[in-house]
Amino acid sequence: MSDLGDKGFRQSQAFLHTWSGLLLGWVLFAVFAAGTIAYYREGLNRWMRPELARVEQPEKVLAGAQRFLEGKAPDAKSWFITMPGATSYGAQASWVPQVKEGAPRARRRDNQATIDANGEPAKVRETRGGEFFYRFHFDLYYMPVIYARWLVSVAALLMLVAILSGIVTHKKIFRDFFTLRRGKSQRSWLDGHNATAVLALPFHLMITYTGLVTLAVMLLPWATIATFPKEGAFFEALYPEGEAVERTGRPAPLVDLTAIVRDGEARLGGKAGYVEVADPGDAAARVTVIRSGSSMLSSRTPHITYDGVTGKVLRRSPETGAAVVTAGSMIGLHAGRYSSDWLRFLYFLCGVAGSVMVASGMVLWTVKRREKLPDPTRPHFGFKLVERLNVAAIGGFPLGVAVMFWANRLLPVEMAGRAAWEVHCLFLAWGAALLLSIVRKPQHNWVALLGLTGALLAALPVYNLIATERGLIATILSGDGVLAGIDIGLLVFGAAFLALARRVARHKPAAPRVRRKAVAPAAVAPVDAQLEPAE
Amino acid sequence: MSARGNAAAASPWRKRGDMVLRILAALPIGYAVATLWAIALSVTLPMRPEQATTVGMLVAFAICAVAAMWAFAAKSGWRAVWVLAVAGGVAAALTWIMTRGGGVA
Repeated sequence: MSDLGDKGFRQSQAFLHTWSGLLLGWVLFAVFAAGTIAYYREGLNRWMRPELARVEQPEKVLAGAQRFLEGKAPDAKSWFITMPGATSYGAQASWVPQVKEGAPRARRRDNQATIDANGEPAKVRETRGGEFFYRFHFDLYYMPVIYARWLVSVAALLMLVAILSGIVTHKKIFRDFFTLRRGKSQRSWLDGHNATAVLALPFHLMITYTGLVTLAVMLLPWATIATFPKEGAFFEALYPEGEAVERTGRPAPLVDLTAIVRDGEARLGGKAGYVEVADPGDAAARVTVIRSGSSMLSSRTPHITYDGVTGKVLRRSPETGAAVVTAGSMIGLHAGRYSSDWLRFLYFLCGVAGSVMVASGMVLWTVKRREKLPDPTRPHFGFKLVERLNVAAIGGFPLGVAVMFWANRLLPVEMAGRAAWEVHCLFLAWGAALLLSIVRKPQHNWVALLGLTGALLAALPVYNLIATERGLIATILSGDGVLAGIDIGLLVFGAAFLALARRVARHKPAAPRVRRKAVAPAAVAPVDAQLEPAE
Repeated sequence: MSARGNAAAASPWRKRGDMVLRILAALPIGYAVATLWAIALSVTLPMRPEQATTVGMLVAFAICAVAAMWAFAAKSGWRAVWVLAVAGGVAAALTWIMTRGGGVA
């Protein structure tokens, strides 16, 4: 296996493709799927807070946020407001209290509030909304983020290697794109893998490379050593800050933030994303308006700082150089915040294709090897491990997501630690899938997990229709494309998972199986009978 | 090279050793070469230091990926290692030459 040198370049790359793809494929699948969902994180932020109306007048919300913060934290060290936009449920207002000697550091979530579309502090269920998927796709969960980011980055590098070696391996890259041999076991898996890979190939390359770029400074800690030996000097050179200002202790009323933001948007040339106020209520107060990432490609958005009392412009962020704009644009391309509705949809579809590419690649690994096993009924440990981990990871994660959405709807609104429990529910379901894949045969689990996921997803819009004010009919009638789109998406994915479950249930393995009788009823039973896992 | 390739085919331990060398070349050595080139570019490119450093970082991942591909395409594990070592050595030398004069600090 190791005498690669004697074979051609293509064979060596096929070997590399197989193993670099498999090694962290399970992590990669979860990262890819969560990242894909995160393209709709703003929509999900709203979908997961169905009690809130959508913002019609952003300025009203901003004024409400200022009013709230002036009442709640008049002498804070700083305020931070995420600007309400047309796709959001309101504004998030948070503050950093003055540091008091001996006092424990306040937790961030105790110092923030949601301001609703009417400009009032909202009573809303505690949820992480779509933000969870965004954070999870590079921070994972239940582990220190630094380890998680390294793990995800190694997986991404392996993915980059797998893509490049995959291109080399692939002789007839364009012809195979038009080939889909359905119902032919290995051929079908291979064609499915090829089609999803080649169809969105530029996307896969782009998303993997730019994903690495987002973490470049962490991944290449020594790259700055020759030019910026002092710690932190690289960031100071990248993002020079204005001079530090001392708090005066003299009170002075803060300017109207809506007027400042309007002026800032005109000067920055695009919508504002965030507003930061330093030393509010003090004569030395400063207001910084930061341009939104949704209004430009580069994620390195410019900002402008005003005097918080007189409203005079104090400082503009300097022009960034070409290389930094390139890096910022790569990160912008990755996150897709700049994209319009249809482009975002395309991003999402490409992400789905990528997830399917990873999943089908992992399954293909087992399909290809099953036929070559000395005894297919008793595969060796490595094969069993991959086969069962595939079920646990690929079948379990979508189930976890579906369960999390249901937890968002069903957990009591007043529950303590509710937001965390929504996430725990995802991992409990995923853990259950892992357990199931240890105790039961893989094929049965595929049917159970896919079927259950499909049923749960498809039932969500029905629940919304009955139990919330924002069911599919209401959202379509009010022209709320984002929420309607999510409900329709859930229906489509629900149907797709059910169809897949049905297909797997009807599939008859080519090799004769010992427990044929156990498989046979599944082949004829209607899909609904399979929805509940038997064990 | 072909003699060594045939030897590798002969003994299973040689095979395993060869594979270990390739994996070392693909991951730790490839990463080191990428970092060395990022540093070399940060002191060589005619731009402001933070710009040049950024370019170095942007290019480094491509170097990582190509190094991994080379590690498995090379005739033997040893060859994969020494070619990458030379590639890293060139970057180190370039960095040394550029910073010797004290031009960038």
